[in-house]
Amino acid sequence: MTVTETARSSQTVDLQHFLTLMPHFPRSVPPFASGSMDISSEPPTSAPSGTSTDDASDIDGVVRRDQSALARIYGRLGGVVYGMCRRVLHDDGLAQDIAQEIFLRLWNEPNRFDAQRGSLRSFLLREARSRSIEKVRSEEARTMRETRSEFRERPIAPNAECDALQSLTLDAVRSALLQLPEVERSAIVLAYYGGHSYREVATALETPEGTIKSRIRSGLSKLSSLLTIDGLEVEQ
Amino acid sequence: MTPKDQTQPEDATRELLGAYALDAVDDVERRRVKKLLASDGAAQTELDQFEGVVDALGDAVEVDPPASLWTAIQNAIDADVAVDSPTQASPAQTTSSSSKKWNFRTPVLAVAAVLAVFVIGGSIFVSARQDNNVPDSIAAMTAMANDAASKPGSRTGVLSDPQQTMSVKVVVDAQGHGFLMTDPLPTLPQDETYQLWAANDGTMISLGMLGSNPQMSLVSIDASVTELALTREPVSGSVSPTHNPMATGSLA
Repeated sequence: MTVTETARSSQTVDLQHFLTLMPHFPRSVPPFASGSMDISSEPPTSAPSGTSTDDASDIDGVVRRDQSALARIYGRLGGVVYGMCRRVLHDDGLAQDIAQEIFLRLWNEPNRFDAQRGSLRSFLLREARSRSIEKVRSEEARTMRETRSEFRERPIAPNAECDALQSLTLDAVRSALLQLPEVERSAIVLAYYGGHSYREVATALETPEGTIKSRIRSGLSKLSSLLTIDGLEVEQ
Repeated sequence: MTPKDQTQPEDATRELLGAYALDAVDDVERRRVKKLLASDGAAQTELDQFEGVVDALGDAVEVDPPASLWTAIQNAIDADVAVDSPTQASPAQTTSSSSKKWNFRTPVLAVAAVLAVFVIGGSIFVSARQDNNVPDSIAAMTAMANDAASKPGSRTGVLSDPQQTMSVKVVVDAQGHGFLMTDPLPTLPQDETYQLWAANDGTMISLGMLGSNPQMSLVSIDASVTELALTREPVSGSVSPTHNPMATGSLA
């Protein structure tokens, strides 16, 4: 069957059928892994991640300069890398710049990733977050130079925690965070999604640093249980 | 030094494990934690648990990246490959330039050498780039689509509107390579893009963005997808449709 014949023989579905779906669209759609799409999986907690085999195979491909291998990695992880950059930077343009930089660095230096030390997803998420934080700090340093203002710890916006929680695209994670004691949730959300050090969080919350450290540790431990109970497999 | 004195610093370092997992510590503290992890299996186990949580926290920020991101990456790689003089390349560039033969694994991906590749949410999109190679690219893609349509396991369909004013022909081969061939669609403003969706039990799943004036696109379409829809969206794409479908169709 040629393409032209295809056009004649295929059926067109009722547009109204799709219109009836519109009010029920989920807020977020999980990504697909390895170019394979399983729309029957359980959103929103089933965001597939590449297996370690996928990671190893595709990193080998990148080492061999196989561009399609990088495309597969981007397909699996482009969304989380860009999303993390955007979350920390609050700027779509800067987020694109940093995300691009991260994938180009992976292309040019694939051996920086060590599969023995964790998944490629973890590696790229760390890169995205740390590079974004560096970018924020360099921008702040530039501003301080220009305004000749003195160094001070990065302030945290009053609504930062709320903004972060609202922006999350996995209901299971948001739900688990909301089940934490408020003090633990605040410490984790501000540190991780805000890209702040625990010291900055302590200053913002006017709480001793030791207390913030303990709250983060305790909160992460509870989250591990909550996320497992909610069906989101926490990789270890 | 009493045993208590010896354990106190270690306990203080252990208390940092959560902040370390969130990368919210300074360099000195990071070194302290690494030193602890090297000698304390329980601490490593606790950190492994935390890192799993951190991965989940990271997953929750996922959004569809704009198509322009992959295009920018692709262009940067192309520019790197096009470097003729190794002496002009940085060390990293030298590494990549030293192997200028693309190792495309399938004929489908070989066509991508003259196309812009957009990878959205795991779906590989290849859309014709606006350059002199486009006619050849479209011809090659059309030939591949025709070839795919004739093979066992392929599926075909057409997305159209009720008035039949637009038509997007779709061929999906047995491996899930989907070819989208559009009769001229209305060119959208620069700040908008066509976006393709799969529908399943009331859920719309983004298959990616096709650009403002698509002619030929390649997209990964899983065997479970039977119904498709096309919408116009902001240029960075949407996580769920913001407009009613312009065209719909099914695969059979």
